[in-house]
Amino acid sequence: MNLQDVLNASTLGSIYLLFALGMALVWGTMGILNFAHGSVFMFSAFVGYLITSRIPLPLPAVVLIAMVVGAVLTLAIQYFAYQPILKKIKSVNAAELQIVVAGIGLSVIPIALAEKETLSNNFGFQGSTFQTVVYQFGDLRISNIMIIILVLGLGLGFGTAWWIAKSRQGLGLRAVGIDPEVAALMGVDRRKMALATMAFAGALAGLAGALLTYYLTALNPHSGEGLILKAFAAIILGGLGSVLGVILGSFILAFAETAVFAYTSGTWVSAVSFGLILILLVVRPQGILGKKEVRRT
Amino acid sequence: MFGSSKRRLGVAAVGLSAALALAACSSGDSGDDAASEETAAEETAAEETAAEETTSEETSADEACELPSEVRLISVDSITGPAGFAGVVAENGAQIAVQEINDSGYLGDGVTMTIDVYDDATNPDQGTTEFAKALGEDVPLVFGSVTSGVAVAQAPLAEAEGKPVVFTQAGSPGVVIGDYTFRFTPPMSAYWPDVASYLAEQGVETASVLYANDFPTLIDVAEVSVPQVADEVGIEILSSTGIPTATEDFSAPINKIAQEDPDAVIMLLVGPANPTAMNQLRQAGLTDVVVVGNSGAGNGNLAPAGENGAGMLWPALFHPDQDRPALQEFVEKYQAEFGEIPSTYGPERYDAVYAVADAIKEACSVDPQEVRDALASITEAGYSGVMGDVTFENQDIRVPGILVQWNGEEELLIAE
Repeated sequence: MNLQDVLNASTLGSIYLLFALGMALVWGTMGILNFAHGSVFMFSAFVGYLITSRIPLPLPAVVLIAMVVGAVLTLAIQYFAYQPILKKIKSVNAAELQIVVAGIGLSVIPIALAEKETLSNNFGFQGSTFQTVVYQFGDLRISNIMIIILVLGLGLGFGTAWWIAKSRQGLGLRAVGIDPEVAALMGVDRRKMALATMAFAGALAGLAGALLTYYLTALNPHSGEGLILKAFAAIILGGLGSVLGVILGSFILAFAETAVFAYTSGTWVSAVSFGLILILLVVRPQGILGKKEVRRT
Repeated sequence: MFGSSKRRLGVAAVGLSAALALAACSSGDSGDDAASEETAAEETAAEETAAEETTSEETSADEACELPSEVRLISVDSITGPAGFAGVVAENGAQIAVQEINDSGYLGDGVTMTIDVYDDATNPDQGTTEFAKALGEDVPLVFGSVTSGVAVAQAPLAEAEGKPVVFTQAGSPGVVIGDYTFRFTPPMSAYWPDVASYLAEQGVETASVLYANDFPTLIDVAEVSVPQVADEVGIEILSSTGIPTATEDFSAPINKIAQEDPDAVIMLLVGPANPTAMNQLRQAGLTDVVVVGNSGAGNGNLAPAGENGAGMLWPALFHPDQDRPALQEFVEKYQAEFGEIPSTYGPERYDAVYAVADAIKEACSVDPQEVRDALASITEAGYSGVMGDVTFENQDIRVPGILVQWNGEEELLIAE
């Protein structure tokens, strides 16, 4: 792998991280595996596309819109779908399957709306005022959007890890992850905590959607589906419940895929990346940084 | 062309053959002039009688031909999912044909044609389920999916059921597999000899290939057609990299290609992937290479790439600027009805619907076997439609290809 491959793999790792972070946070702390995360990611970018195709906006405004859309959508999903399920089935563990099925069902709606509007064609931010600029240092080529993705991906990844580990709210969230009943007895408002976490995860999905659209030029209504699998893989690889694990998992996956492309004809890219996970699950079922005892922290 | 103002070459050819056969039968070779005149007079009288009988038979056949008041067909197509952009345009083309057929009474007075559309969601599982359902219904024929991955699963079901199926677009091997499968789009591989010649004319000596390795049509082109035609014109293939369709970021394989420094890049990706790949190709510094794609790059799919997509060219069947009156008439109708210029999926399905209408009319039946036989004879003879003068090889269409290029703002016809 040359330096350009390392840079490309790092950018890809940051993309996986931005996408997986919100999903991992919700799954690792609240026990909700939100399969609608990919649709929220796509739909946030889609709303950005609808607005920028009418009003030329700069990158920060588009990113902000996508984050707000992502947060609102995820909150709505939590409020209207997951919360009622959890109310009826008191145990999070027992409700897990119902939540997964509800998430898959809900994810179809934003995809169908985007497909209807775009006729399944791709969409981008051509109306945005942001222009991609490529800088060249010797043989190394890096664009301004790659720098933004790298900085935000790593910044938000490590920032979230620090927040979970050090802040009072992070402590509350970890407490909910370990034992929701005891956490509630200790004064943690589970409902409020759940809504705030879902909103944060949704905003991250929106951020990832907007940045990825700028980076890739366009998304399509199904773009979130492939990324869900990658995020799932990154979370399992790094260890469920560990934000640092998600960072590690995202980058291992990205570097493995890049190496496969660099050294082979590419045919084995999925087999190698998912083979890695299979091996790890056999050798270390809790993931690289996951704890042996399953604790959602 | 098929419509009321259109004449099918195939039917004309059958008529011409019959006339020549009659002429051959009636021409004698006798040395006796009188006998010859007498014979000629008798023959003339016999011919007149035969002609009268034929006319009377035709008239009575026309009168006897009574189709049901509603001829119902089903189309199981990709209306949603990654290939939805193609399926929707195909069904729009079908809708225009059906409307014309019904308005002109093409199938007879009071006979209307309808096509019910079932969505396969670009998914082989859903595609086969819906298709099996369609085959079980009382319809003479079913239109299959535009998506190769779905079509290859549908084709064996039609063969097993003994009900004809007409495909458009699904250009991979395994789609036209027997008596009951017809395809009104040539296999994608059919264009590549011309593309290779074009590349050789442009001075291309080396090329790298990037292709979707889970898409049957594109696998066939990348792994079979391209190496074969490249070898024939002396183009060296530096590498061939397969990527899953779900790939979002192409920077790793494109970086590998950039290091090979090829004269041309052959990108065989599904529609929505093209602008991303073109953008990343340019950002990787490959600004002067010739880039060849496939028809999936058309239909406005390259628009998000803007200037970064400029220069990409691909073989196609149709471009709205092609100078054919029937095509122009179709484009105008499509634009009036749907507010946009159609892509290739529309006119080829339009032609296919007319061919099916002709088969039903010729068979004077909605029996699947009789419709199949009539469609087989129509395709065997060829016809002239919106897509031009077409021929078939084993129920698989052959149409001359064209080259289309994205110039940063629109798709241009660059070679016919």
